[in-house]
Amino acid sequence: ATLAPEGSTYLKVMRQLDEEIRAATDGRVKFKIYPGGVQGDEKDVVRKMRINQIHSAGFTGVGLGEILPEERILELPMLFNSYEEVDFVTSQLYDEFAAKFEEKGFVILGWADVGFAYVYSKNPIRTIEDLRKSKIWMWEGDPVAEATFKALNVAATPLALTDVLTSLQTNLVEAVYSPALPTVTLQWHTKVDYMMNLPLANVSGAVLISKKRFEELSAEDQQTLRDLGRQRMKELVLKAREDNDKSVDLMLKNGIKMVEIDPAAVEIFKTAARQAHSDLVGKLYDRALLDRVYGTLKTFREKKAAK
Amino acid sequence: METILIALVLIVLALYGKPLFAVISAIALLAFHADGTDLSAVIIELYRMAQQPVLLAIPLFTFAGYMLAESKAPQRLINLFRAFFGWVPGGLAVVTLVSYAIFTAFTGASGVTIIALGGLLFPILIKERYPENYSLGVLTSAGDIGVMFPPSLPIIVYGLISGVSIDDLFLAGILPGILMIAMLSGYSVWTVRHQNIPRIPFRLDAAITALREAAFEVPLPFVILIGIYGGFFTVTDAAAVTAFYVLVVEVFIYRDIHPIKQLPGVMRESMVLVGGILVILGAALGMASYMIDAEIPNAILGFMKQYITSKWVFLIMLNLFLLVVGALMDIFSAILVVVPLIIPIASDFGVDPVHLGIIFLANLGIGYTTPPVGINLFIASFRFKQPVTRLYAVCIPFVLILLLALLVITYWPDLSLFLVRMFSTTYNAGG
Amino acid sequence: MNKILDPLDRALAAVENGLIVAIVTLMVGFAFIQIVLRLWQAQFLWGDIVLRHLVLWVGFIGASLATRDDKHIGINILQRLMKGRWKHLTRALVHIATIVVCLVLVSASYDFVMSEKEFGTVLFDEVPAWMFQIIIPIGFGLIALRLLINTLREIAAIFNPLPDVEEEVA
Ligand code: NA
Ligand code: NA
Repeated sequence: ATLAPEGSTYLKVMRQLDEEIRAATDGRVKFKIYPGGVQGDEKDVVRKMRINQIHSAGFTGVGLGEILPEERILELPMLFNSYEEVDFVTSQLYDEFAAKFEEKGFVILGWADVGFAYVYSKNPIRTIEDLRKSKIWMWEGDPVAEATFKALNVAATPLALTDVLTSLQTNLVEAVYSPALPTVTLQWHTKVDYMMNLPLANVSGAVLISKKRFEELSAEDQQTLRDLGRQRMKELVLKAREDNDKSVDLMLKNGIKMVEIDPAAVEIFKTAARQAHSDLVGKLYDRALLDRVYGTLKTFREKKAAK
Repeated sequence: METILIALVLIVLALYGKPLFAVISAIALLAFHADGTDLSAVIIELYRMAQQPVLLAIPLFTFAGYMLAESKAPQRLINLFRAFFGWVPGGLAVVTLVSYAIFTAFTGASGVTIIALGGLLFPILIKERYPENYSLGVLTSAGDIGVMFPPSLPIIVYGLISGVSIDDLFLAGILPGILMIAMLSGYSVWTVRHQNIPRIPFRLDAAITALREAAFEVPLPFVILIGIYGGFFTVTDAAAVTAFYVLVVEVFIYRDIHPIKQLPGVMRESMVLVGGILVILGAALGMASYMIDAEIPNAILGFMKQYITSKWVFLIMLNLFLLVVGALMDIFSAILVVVPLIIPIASDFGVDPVHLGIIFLANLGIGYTTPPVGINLFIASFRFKQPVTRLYAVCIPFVLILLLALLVITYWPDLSLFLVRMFSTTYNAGG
Repeated sequence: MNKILDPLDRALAAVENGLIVAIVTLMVGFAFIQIVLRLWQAQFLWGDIVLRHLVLWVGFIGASLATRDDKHIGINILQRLMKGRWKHLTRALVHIATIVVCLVLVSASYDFVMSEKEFGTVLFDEVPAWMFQIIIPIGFGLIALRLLINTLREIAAIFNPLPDVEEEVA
């Protein structure tokens, strides 16, 4: 199950993976695919996986956080500056998170990040004051978003995903955040005029299999599934990034204007983001993990600068 | 064999008055049990309701509707209707159809319309000497049309699932929706032509008096409209504003409902209805979930695909299929389950995706009043205290006319696409 | 029989009526306050989630009262043909069949709520979801209890049939 619609890149890759796995395991392992959220939102799918009604599903951070709250550390605001950094930290934490997911009864088939989220708005947003003045949407019940807006001292409007488009239409909200591809798929781009050129946060994702179901497979099939899964998901992440770039081009072509952020304002955003990071300590993850991620990033940046 | 036996037992129990929520739950529970799935799967589906933002609108609109019905608002509105539309032959019928369509478009669920407006219009229609069968029929089935007009929730859900521009769909639904209203209006005027409905000549002073008497109720639809389009609130908020506004107006301004003696009773009665609807909705979600798991729609479609050779045959089959789906499921489950399956096939046959959306909505809208699971039949049964079987019968002419309109909508794509071509900036004609 | 059942039934109904009045008042008031607060972008972030769960609460209490009033939505064609003892007998049997379904639903929803408790699902902040979800097993339990009372009444009536009364609703 996945929220991704039929015909999307995501689904194409999943169908390809299904075919390859069928071939590699002589049909012993196959997927029945339910796209477009027909099985409910991610919290519902987690519930269904727990009772073994669904065996495997693709999640974004919201669903993954429902199982393992500390996974959300990969989605903290203003944490990463580039996809290189995302990939590096994710690969450092891969085995640890995979083991923790298994403790909770889920086997991770591969990370499938959706990409960086940006802010799209009806009025240009250049400073934190601009942000405070516009009515910005917040994904209802998302603790990361809540902490971020609180730290920024921005009063956001909590709404379910399904209500966002109509609310943009009626000006109930004037600004939203999302990676570029979903912005186009959900048609939000038809209701906004500006895009803030500031990667706000990474939107993570992963495909999980229920451990109970996974352990029913032979060791050989398990390995096949792990190998193929990890490989295809890596390709998927690259394709998703390409699609995001294409979506940005499409939006620019449709007349959406890119807004550059004042460097001083960026610093204010970064300070507020750091505040949000520490506000979430004890809620989603512990201080040690946050420090480790900071450390990893610091080393990575130093190495990069040295080159 | 066993399955047939169980089905027979359930059918007999249903015919002997076993509550529908229990019958549907039993089917879902048995199916999941046979499947080896944990039975809490049914509850996971039921609980999904609590994630739907629009859920709150159901009790709030219901409560507001019951307050309006309990107050003297129907009387004030009769006076108003008589003053303004009394001189038009069959005028009240047309007003009924238009107000129903607009209200349903805004509430997203036509069941709410029956509660809020049906209870209001029924006594007026009877008082104006419209036949009881006609009145029950129009008040049960007219809500179907509302799904065609913006900002109806089914249109939005369809757009989200299919990726078709919601703006285009909003434009596309308008003319087909007007066609449906026009055809039902024609039928209405024809039906009541011998009824000798009194025609009152228009008088300005009477109109002003009636308007002044209903001064606090007349703004209600405008408050909702301006609220939503002015960007002040969502449909759910509109329900909250309506409930609060009606409470203040009927209890404290008009003082039609006594806050201690009558209001608790109105709350109780309205929530009994909400409870009845909620348990059925939950059970239906459970059953739909099993059908998705078992890929039953896929199987039906795979079978269909073997026999389809042309676009027109495909459209006939699609209509039949959607009518069956609409009869068995609520409109949102139906859209969620079927749309992703049909879209690739439909594009194979060269059906315009916007036109396809309108065909979907028209079909599934009719499903509100087709047995066995036409939710409006049950809500109307509750609201008008009539047996469901009688409502089946009185709705037949209305459903037949809507089917006729559906044929026109299906085989005349330009009706749907005309406004889109004229006003849309995103629509590309080749698609 | 009725000496025990009637007071129980009435006491339960009084509690349910009270809860409905309280929740509907809260719901209408709070939903409106949320909108007013939103004008100043100051609404409670958890407000809408709680409001939707209150709908489940009034819904299930309403469904219990619907059972008391015999107002559940259904297709009732054959029952109307029944007279006297047969009528009470078939009604009792249908009630019992419905009780069975409700009890299975109680068990399934109890499992659901316990699983939510075990996995620590929260509604918002630190408030556990199960505290709100518990109405699902309680609601189906109340419906079953009400049906049991109705069944006992029908059984009593089999042995002591009253003259048939015209039914109001199908
Ligand atoms: Na139906
Ligand atoms: Na239906």
